[in-house]
Amino acid sequence: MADVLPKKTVLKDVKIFKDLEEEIIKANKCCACGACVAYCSSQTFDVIKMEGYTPQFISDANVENCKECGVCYYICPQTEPLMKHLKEDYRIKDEIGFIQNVIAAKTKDEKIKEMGQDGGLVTTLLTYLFDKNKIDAAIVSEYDDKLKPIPKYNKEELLKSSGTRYSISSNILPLTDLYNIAQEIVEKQHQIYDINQIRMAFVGTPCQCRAVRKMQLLSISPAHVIKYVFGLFCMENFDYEKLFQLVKKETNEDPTNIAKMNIKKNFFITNKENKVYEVELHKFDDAVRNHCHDCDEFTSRFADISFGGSGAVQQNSMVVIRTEKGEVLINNAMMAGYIDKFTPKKSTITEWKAKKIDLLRRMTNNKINKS
Amino acid sequence: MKNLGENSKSVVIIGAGIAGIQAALDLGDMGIQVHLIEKQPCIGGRMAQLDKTFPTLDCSICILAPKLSECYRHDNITLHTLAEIQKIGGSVGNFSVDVLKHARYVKEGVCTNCGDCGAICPVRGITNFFDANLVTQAAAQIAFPAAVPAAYRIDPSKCLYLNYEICGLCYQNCGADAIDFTQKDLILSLDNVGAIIVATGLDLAEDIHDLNIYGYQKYDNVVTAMELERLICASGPQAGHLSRLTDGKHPKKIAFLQCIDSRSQKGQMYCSSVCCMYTTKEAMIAFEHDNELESYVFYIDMRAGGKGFQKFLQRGAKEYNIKYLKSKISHVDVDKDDNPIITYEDYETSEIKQLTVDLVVLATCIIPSRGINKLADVLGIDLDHYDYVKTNPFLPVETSTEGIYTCGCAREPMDIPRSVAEASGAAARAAEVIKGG
Repeated sequence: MADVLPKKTVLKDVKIFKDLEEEIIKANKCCACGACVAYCSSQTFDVIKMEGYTPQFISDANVENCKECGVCYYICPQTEPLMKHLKEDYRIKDEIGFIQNVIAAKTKDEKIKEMGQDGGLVTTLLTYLFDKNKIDAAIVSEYDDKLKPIPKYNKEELLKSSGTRYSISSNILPLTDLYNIAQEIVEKQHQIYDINQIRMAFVGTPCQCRAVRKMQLLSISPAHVIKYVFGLFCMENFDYEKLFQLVKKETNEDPTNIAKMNIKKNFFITNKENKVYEVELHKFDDAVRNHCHDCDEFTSRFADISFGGSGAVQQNSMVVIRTEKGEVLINNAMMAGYIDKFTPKKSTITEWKAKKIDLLRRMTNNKINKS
Repeated sequence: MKNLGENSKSVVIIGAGIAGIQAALDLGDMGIQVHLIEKQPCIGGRMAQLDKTFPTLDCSICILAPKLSECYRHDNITLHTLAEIQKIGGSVGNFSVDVLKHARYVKEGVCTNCGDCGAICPVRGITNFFDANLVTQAAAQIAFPAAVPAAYRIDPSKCLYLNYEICGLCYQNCGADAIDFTQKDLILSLDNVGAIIVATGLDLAEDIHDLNIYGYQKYDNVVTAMELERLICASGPQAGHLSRLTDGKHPKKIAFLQCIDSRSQKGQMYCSSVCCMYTTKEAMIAFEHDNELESYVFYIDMRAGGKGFQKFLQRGAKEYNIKYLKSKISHVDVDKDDNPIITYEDYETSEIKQLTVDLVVLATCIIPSRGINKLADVLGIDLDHYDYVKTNPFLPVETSTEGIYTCGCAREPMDIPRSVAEASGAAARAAEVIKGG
């Protein structure tokens, strides 16, 4: 066997995956977003993989392959470095973050209305971006049996995945293989000449958005292809297996027969025959992911736009616009006739907004206090 | 190589485009020491970005590359890349010049240009000026593979090690041990400088104005002439297969819009001088890529004042399927398939018409290099109304300060042959100072 040369490095005391494992993963703080694995595998370093919800060394032999660059530790949404910088960039001073504007709105598309969550806004805006050729692909919550989300390359694929899935998935993981994504784009849409030219939209929970933003702050591959970040309101997230065991226990329905789930005040579960079950939320506490207990985010403060049902009237989504880009997108989609903005009747718009912001603040504090 | 000796005066040339390079080679060949200062990490300037040159349709980089390497190898020429002039003192015959040299973080002579650093660098998405910002690159980067000097550089604004003290992957990966993070920006003091030549060249209208009414940056199928040069260039982002940025289809109908931001009160009041010619050139090259191509040139006046230029235009119309329409553009928008629609007034019939094409190319106006105001302040030379270096019509290469000369597009918009001729003129005037005219 050839002599192994000592790694040459310019770095001093950099935290690496071993530290990440120690401080975050073993401490049950990992949110399974997949950022560390996506970065490391896109570099083809052959060190770590996602095993279910857990990032880990591929094998003991692969530990040696670690380049000890420390990037995985930095981009992890649960670690401290970069957070101060990131908060400054996104003008976040408190628990609900910077709010450029807040509206309630719903889709004008009949099909999305039927299938989507609340006002169906996320699906509609993605449809708009596909129609106007502003994105080549979108990462949404639909995943394969390895919990790896499947990117969507056009409107038709997108409509199949509308609605919310209340179990975590590693939403950053699909970016690992930009070459595959590029190939799909060429097959399904149009020619591109450079994988760095890919434009994607990302839909995720607050922690996932935070990971994307950390990666973008460092201009790290593969997150450089993400052009739009859509955040979701997130009270807590569930372990796939445990959630469905509890659903079965509470409703006697087989998981495959569940059509839709929606958290409002309680957990609403609809089966494929349109029967609705209402179950108290705390009954699912055992399935809640551990990292959610320490989470201080409800409204996705780092997104371009955040969406959720809380606070909106029936059939509408609450929309919190946080960046210039988000504002432009909403306005354009509105002008192009994709979405309908809700106009409050009983109060002035200023009063309505203040009320809604107050509500979101209270809900965030509830979440923080609960943990 | 002859040399006037250690104690002789040197010449500082600011800007290493074709004009600066020609002046440097002329002076170097006379045995005069030259310091060639370039703000970019590589030399060659705008000419290196072009696909072909008019009116001969020669490959631009093929003509330029030998000059680039000659400059690099020349005993009498010292190249300072990533450098800018910071201070100047003295007067003609004895200037002192302080040059700020930015750190490259890669050892120039040691780097083998293998690209291992760029491949492993995790940073992505930094636009490459050389490819008209159409492609992005890593923080360990080189403008193009044949760049001179043939050395990578590390962009300090995005490098993870320089900003956060993490990563260091390029250092680990470099087989030649060329990465040197200990490099610092430094000030180089040049004394005994006899003369200075300002050859700072040009920028383009799109660098300072938004060209929204022509759909630029609003629609991807509206590109500037410089972008087209890169798109059509065999070493460019599309490897010479001209296709649309929206869907990758080969355009069959291209519209070239002339006088964008030039000869206009909203933009620059002067004629950009080279656009009529390069537009015809670009239409010809595009035709050579695809013989079914139709080109439409929307012009106000055709200006072909140069040797063989008029004939060049006639050849375009006759042999390359180029239609010249005397017209005034109102605006550009797109149909649902992203095909640009040009609304214009036809000057022949005075009618308002529309034309749908696959691709629009904007012949944007040449503007003075954006750093020229600061540089003129440092050098103490006068600029004209448009910020070009002020010169006297009968002493075209002399600035308002004795011993400081100028040539090329720093003085006014001009084509490559004229820039080269002026560069030789400026070199001759500088040589007079050194050798005693």
